[in-house]
Amino acid sequence: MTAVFCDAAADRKAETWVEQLALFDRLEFAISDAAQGIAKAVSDLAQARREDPEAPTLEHGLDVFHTTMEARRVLARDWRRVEAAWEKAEAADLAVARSRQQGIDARGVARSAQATWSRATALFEQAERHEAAWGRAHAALDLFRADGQLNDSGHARVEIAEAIEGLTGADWSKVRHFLNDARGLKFLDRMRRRLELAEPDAGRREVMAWRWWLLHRRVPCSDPLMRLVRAVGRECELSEPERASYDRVSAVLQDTFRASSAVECMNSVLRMQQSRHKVMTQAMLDLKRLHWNCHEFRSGPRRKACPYQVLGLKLPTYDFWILLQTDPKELTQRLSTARNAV
Amino acid sequence: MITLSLRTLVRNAAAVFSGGYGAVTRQARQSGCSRQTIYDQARQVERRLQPADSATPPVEVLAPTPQPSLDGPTVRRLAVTAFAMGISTRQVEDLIRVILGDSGPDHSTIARWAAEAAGQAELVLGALDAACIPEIRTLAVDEIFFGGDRPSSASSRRA
Repeated sequence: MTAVFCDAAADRKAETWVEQLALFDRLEFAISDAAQGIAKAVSDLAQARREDPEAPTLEHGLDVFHTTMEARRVLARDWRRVEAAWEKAEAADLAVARSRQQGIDARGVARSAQATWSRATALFEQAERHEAAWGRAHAALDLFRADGQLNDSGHARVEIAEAIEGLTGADWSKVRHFLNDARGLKFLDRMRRRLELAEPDAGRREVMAWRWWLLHRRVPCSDPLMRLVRAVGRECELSEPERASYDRVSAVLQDTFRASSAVECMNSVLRMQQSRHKVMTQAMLDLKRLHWNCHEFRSGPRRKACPYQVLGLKLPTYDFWILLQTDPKELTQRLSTARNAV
Repeated sequence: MITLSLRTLVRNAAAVFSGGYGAVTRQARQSGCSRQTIYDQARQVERRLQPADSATPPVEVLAPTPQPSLDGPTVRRLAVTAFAMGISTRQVEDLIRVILGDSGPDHSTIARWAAEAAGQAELVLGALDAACIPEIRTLAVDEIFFGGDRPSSASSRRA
């Protein structure tokens, strides 16, 4: 959640992005939307890293956030169409009733009403099919399957391929394109690799991941026996090695990101501010970025911590105003001492 | 008079209040009534569940409260923080006037304070960014259009 750079650049070409991203020499995973400049920059950097055996591998993941946003937009349009058709059909019914009440021959309006109902029903069923198909594709983009098993890219690909068959029509072409992009599932491959390193024992890894799912997702269950099994999985005491294993698995799962919603969150703040300021200079961006990184989250899993604290940066203070008054040289010195101590 | 079962009535109302796309149409289909009927029932349920108005409280006579006083550094801190949160200098000026009356700073003074703070922020961020960069393993990147003097195109946008 920490805004580590915010640059008012002259363009958004790949070279401009490379300049920014090259600073992050320990970066392993970059998430973005389908922007071509970013994609090329990450690809260039990844290529350069492959030539350096000591550099960490760099991967590019496609943001799940934009796929979901686009799907919701199309679904909303589908449902608006259904509602308009439904209202039209209801109005046609009223016309039939009025004609009958007035003793007028209602056969013509009845036929028209029947046709409008057929259209409304067809649109309704289509919207339901689309919603179900999208639900399936969306579920395939999660870290876990519906039953709490860890998801993997093979399973997700199969699910998405089947879901795409239900996402018919030109409106869904962008969503289909996003879903077909192989970068969309990179986060799953990375998560699997990191979990294997964190817990080499496959059985224990799956169990600890399942426990994490039970503790963090709280998926409702109607079967009393399964509820009991889940309660045991969630509440049972762990031995010391099991606790250590759980902590390692948990750290990976908590640190697996599939959406750039953090950056969208920052963008929404900046967009709101853009409407109030005539110009947005680099100096203003710096001030706003420092304030963002020092502000304390009021709710959610990061409650009572600011982005710098979440990142693990040890600072003498996280107060925006006090940090602003700090001597930068002294701050550099203190941060360097703290890093060396670690 | 409502002749539906309570369960259907509550479901119909829930479909309206859920606000989801297609929820009302779907419920209209399930319960076999029109969408308008469902909206009417939701209003009825809302009216029923509304708590009865309590007796009008007596009009309170507001006693004059002493005007809070802020010292110079606190006013400056308030102004710069509000600006960093995204409030414009003129809005900050109006807000400070609520507290301090006419003795508050004007928007040009606030803009000068904000510019000085922004200059300082750049230096502080230099130190902080250097400490952050080695910690970054995952990075979410995005572009936002801030406008510019040139006509925008795919390759010449300010990002």
